[in-house]
Amino acid sequence: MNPGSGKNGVELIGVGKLYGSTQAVRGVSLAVREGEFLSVVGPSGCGKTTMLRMIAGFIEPDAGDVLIGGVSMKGVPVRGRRVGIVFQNYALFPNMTVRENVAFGMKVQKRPQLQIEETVASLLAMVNMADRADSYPRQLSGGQQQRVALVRALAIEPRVLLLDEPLSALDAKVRNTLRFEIKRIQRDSGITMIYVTHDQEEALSISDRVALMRGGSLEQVGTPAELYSSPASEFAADFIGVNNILRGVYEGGGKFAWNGRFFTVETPAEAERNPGARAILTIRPERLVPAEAEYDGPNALEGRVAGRIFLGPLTRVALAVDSPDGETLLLDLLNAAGESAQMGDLLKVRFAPSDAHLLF
Amino acid sequence: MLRRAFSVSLILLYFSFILAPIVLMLIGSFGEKWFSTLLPTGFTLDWYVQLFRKAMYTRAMVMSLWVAGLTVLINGAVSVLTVYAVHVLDSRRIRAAFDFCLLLPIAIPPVVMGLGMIQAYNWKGFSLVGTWQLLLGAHLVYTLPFMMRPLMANIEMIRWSTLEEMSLSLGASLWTTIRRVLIPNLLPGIVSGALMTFAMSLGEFQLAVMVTGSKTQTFPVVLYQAFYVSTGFACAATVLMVLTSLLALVGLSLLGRSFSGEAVMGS
Repeated sequence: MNPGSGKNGVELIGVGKLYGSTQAVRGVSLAVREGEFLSVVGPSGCGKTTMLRMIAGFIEPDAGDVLIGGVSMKGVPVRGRRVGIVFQNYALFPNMTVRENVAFGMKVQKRPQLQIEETVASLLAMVNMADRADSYPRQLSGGQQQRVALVRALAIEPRVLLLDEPLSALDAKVRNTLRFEIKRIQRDSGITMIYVTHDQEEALSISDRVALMRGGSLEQVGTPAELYSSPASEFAADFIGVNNILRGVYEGGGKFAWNGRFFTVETPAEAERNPGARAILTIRPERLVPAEAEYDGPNALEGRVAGRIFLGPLTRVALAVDSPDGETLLLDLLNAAGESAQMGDLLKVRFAPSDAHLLF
Repeated sequence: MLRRAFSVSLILLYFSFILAPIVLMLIGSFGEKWFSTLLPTGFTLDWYVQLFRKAMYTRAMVMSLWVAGLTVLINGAVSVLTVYAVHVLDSRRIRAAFDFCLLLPIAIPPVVMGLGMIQAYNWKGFSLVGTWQLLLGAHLVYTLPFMMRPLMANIEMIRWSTLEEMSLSLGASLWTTIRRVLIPNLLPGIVSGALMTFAMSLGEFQLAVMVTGSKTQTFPVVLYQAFYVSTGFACAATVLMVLTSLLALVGLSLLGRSFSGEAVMGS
């Protein structure tokens, strides 16, 4: 079955958008299932917001097509798409109270007054804003405004909810609670959500799937776990989470050469086709574990502690490895081990072959 | 303590500088005679009676209110549309052209504008000079920046383009969006622009003196002539002018407040 179908699914087919001579979005094809929570992440200028605005109908694509519920949106204006939108700056109507803001979409649709009142009341209760129904937006905090903006978009029973960096203007504490509130609403209502953010950690924590964009194209689409543990490219390995990126040569037979050292790695069968090729080995900081001094198994490294950052539950240590290029590796140590590692200490670490990820 | 006394006296000085002439005019308008004395002598209401009896003055007042009112209405409509377009188009070049156009009427002295208008609209067999329509045109240009500026600041402050996108996405038509969202949120700008524009048009002298004819004179023009009649009469005319202006401004701001109040209550 076509994953983008279903009456509230979204499908992009070879969608492109040109701004002057800049290709903001190039040939993006992506299917979002009905009821799915998909995040679009990428650095600023990667085209994620342009893509979202094409789904909403604010921008017409130059190439390709946007389908909602399996129907082409070509020539369908914004107001005919029944797509809910949440912006970074809340965009509540300043001249209306919270209640009027939430009721606006239903009033425009000429729903019966009683139904409007009931829906507004239950939506406001859902985000704990019932007692602020008669407040004006300027009397609310940023987090409260975004809660209202969220249910205002839900009030029109949209087929898809598009969120464009909805939490970026809020401070860290509010951002974290609201993040999970959005997730809860999505799970309870089963609404399709497309969530644009530059914050990869945010995307990993709440999404069913994550689409990583770079330079207008999709770099990788997958579950948060897939993106984290099996990045498809060096860009993905670097952008998602923290990573150690080792540039070396794949020697064949599961051997990776780096700075005169050899590591044993797990490789896909097709890797054997090009022994001697330049390759990249990525290892997450938490996959580097301390080894006893007498350890002489594979994949051991020795270096001096060149820096340490206390992160609460763990300590991130920068390890200067003895190599011609003077490379530094990051490793995360749970606190007991982390506290004992002092600057300048000699430390031996190792990693399991299955914990490193090889890229060509 | 000293600093406070200093600033208080500065403020007092400022107010007396602005208000003293008006107070003197008020006193003078009720005085029978005001000749080589500090204050006028005798009490009379005669100057006011005369003022309302002379058709030239009442007609000029009506003309002034007419031109000022039309200036506010036309400039308001033009400015809302222009500011909306410039904001939504969001082009740096258009914005630069807009800013330049707004500077022109301020940079060009009214005398120059008036002379230019006489040259430009005075052809053989067809002349606009002396008509109120030409004065209206002159006032429209002259006051336009003072209507546009507060509106531009207003529409930028509310970040209109996002609000418009939001309203459209909620299913509203562009017309509903403009009526229910744009206008109510633009009212503060409209009111302050209208107050400014009305006051400027009502009191404008240089353009009016050059462009109007005997049938289309505005109040500031006849007011100037009143000083040749008699001091008391001129004072009464001035007081009438100030009162009209104040009443109109208070009225306008009350009107604006009641409208925005209505919008806030939610229609």
